[in-house]
Amino acid sequence: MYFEKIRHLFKPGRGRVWRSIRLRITALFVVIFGTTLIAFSALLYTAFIRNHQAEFDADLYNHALDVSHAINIDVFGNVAVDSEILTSGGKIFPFSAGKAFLQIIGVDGKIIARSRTLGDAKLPFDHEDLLAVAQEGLFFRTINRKRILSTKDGNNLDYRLLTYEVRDRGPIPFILQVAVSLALLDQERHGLLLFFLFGIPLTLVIAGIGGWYLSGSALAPVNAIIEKAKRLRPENLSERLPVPVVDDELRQLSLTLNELLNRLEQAFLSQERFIADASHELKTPLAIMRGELDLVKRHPQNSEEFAKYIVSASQELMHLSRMVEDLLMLARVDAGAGSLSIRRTRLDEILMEVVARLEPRARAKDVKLRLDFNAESFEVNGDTDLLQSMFQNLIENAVKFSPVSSHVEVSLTEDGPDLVVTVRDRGPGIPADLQNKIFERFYRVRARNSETPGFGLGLTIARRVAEAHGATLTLSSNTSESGAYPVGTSFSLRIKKV
Amino acid sequence: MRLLVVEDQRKMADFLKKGLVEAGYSVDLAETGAAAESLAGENTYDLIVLDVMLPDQNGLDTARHLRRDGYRGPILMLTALAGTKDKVHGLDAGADDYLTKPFAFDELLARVRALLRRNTAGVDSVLRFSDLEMDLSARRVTRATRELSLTPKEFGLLEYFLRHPGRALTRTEISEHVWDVDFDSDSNVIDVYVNMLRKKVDQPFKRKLIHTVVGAGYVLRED
Repeated sequence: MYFEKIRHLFKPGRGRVWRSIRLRITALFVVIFGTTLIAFSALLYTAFIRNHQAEFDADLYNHALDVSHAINIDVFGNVAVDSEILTSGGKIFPFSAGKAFLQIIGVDGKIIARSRTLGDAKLPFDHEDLLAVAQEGLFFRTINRKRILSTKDGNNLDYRLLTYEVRDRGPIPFILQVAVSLALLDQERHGLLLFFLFGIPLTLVIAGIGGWYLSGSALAPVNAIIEKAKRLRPENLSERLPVPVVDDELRQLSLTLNELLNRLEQAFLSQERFIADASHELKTPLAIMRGELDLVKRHPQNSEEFAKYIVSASQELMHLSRMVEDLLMLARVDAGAGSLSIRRTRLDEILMEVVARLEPRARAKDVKLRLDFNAESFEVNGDTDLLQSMFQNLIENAVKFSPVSSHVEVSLTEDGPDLVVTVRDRGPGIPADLQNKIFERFYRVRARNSETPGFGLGLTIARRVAEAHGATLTLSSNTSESGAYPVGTSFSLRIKKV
Repeated sequence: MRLLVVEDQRKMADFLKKGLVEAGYSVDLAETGAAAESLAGENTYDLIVLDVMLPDQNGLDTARHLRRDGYRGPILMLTALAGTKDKVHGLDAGADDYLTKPFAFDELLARVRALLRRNTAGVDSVLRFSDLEMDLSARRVTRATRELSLTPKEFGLLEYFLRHPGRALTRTEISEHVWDVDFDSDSNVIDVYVNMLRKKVDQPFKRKLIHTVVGAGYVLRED
């Protein structure tokens, strides 16, 4: 249950507090650091204790050695203790003689003498101990005070007992048992535990605070980006996010987002321009018609003016209709693949249809439309209506900009997996600096003769239709005779065969 | 000839009626799909002009209802939607032709005439030559009982051949008849196009029917 709760807290998006990356990083840091610190301390503690135990045992052995020097046993078994040796020179440090328990045992296992501190009690010694000491010379054991003294003084300390066979003191070897309190060692152990108990949490708190500030300063640029991005509106889209000085991931993020903003701003601007242009283009014919109608209404009997108005109004209406159609078509292409109806269609039929439709207009200018088809198959996957309107735009443009009594070539050829349609005219050509502009919405090449109708959407539609079909529409144009090619413009569409 | 115009916009309906009456048809008006359905139940109409956007229902549904209720005459749909998809939906719903707004009135009259003519063309509209058979009303072509899949233009071209068997047709004649235009004489499009048709009509079969007449054009004949 409890564990579930914690997991719940850590789950991103749940538990509002954990939504802050800063807090999560800090917590993670503290957990990792804490685990490491505790493991390290535990290791240190055990090593320290083992070391001290060994040291303690060494001290105890030295103490026993000192004590053994003070003991003399004669051949009759009489024990004499030279207390001077025990008290002089502080040799018995660190164990005070008054508190240590001593017991002297004969090699036969019988107790010869005991220190006064023991009173009636005995240090534990059995047959197995006798064998062990005979074999190893000495051994240590930890025993509880209760096993020595049955007094109930509440003193529950452990004692360290050394059993040591003394062979070279006097004529008879004997066994010396020394037991001293482990209080000193326990104290050190407690001290160390206490140090860890308070030291580790304190360290973790300090580490946590440090981590909190560190992650805070690392995340400060992110917060700056968030704050700035929050304030961005269509009105101040020209502003950019702050870019951190250090070349790191955050700088990359900032730069990438700024690039995105560049593109957004461009799209916004072109949208605004489009709306301005479109309203101009739509409103102008309406204004003309309205103005002329007002005039006609003022002189209803003037039939000549009336007839002129009818002609003018139907011209403007045609203009408006085509404009609306073009805009809708553009919107349809812009809406993407879903609004297209892609099916198998024949490019040769589309081109012939378009050429047949434009033939009268070309003939009026004495422009010949010359078709040249050369391919095994003319089938492509495409939206027939859109492709037709694209070629109509291209060929119409070619006718429009062709000089009188010239020709426009429309060729349809195979090139590997592609079909290539090229529309080439002998017009004045398009200067290099305008070649990209002419694909923009409402861009019109300033024509010398004002008769060129159109509103600069044709090529935009053409290029967008090509893109929507995964095809490419390219332009090459030559404005002077000096080049290898004659003057003129050619558009090429490259589209995949079925 | 009696026509029914289903259109809810008053001005549009008025000028449709006026123009059609001037062209010699008698015209009834309906403003809603429901009204159209009940009028079509009471009277016999030779053609129905149907707007796709009606106040009470979608014109596509109206077309479907009219067909369900037994109307067999042609339906000409009017719509502002110009996409191929919309056309397909309209034709699927039972319309015979499709005209997008805004349109020239002359075009409307031409479509109406064509639809009425088609309706009176009669049942026996099958052209035959050798083992080639063309069903004009079903728009189907079979050769030796095998169905050929032709595009509408190819169908038109083959129909032209079938109507003039044994006669050499010049490129100019072909292009003027099928495309209503004389493609530039330097262009090879008619040859390329006829060859595409030959691939479908002649290539799979042993006996060839469409032959080149050097210096003249093409002819449909059995060897």
